[in-house]
Amino acid sequence: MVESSAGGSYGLAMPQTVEPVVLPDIERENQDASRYALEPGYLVICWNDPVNLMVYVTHVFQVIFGWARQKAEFHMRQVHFQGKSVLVRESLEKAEHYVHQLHQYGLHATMERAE
Amino acid sequence: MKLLKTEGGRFVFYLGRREAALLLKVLKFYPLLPTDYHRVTRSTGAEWGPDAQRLLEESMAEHQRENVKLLELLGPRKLRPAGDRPGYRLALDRAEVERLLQILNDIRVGSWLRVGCPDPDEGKLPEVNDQNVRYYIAMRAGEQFECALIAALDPGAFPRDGELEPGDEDRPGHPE
Repeated sequence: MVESSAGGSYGLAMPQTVEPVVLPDIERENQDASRYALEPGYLVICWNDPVNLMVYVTHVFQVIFGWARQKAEFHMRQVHFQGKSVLVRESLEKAEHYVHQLHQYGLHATMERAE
Repeated sequence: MKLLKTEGGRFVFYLGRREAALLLKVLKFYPLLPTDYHRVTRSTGAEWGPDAQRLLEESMAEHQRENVKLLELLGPRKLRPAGDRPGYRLALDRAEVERLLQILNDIRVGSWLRVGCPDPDEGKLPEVNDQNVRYYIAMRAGEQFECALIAALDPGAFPRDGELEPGDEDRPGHPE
């Protein structure tokens, strides 16, 4: 696909912003699936407890994972209502890093080998 | 504890005299959680488990040492007379506020353990007596300070009246 110039004039074309190419999600999912098949990785899981405040848990998820509040609250609610939430799937080193950070904030988190 | 202003990446809080005294008393409890309190995994027999647990405990010990250093600075250097009011001003950058949150939560969770792990959802009340009542006070005070810090970092964290969603009635102070 060729980017057309503004107004059809080649000589006075305004600078154009090239639109980012967005790959179909299904392709990315396939790539992820094959990657995880080769290296299942480790799940970082946060478990429910009766002491940490909901607003605190949401805040911690936002800080550690850089999530928007909506996503952080989704996982916080999973923890609260379902007893646990799988936060991320990562390599051993990265999963350890996240678990350490969650523990520094006093959350009850573990890492488990993904099957 | 009230946020007065944010300037130059710093959060300036106002604390009344009694409030400041309470904060300093609560912070003296730190650390309450032993470094081996957390488990890195629930998997039994994982070959990587012991090494990962040792690494976690070393990391937590180092983190506690850094937090203790921060607390040593907090009283004399950070808490200053407000001047125009009878209380104090506390100026912290974002990283210090996050550290203070971690410290307060360590005190909250450690205090919670010492008053019998109360669980409102299960109807389990705190087991308070003369020996552990100070931990109960630390747990409740820590909760208030945590909420004030989170509200400063993220003003949208606490919905205003009328913005609660169904099932949210117990937010924000309800334990998870």
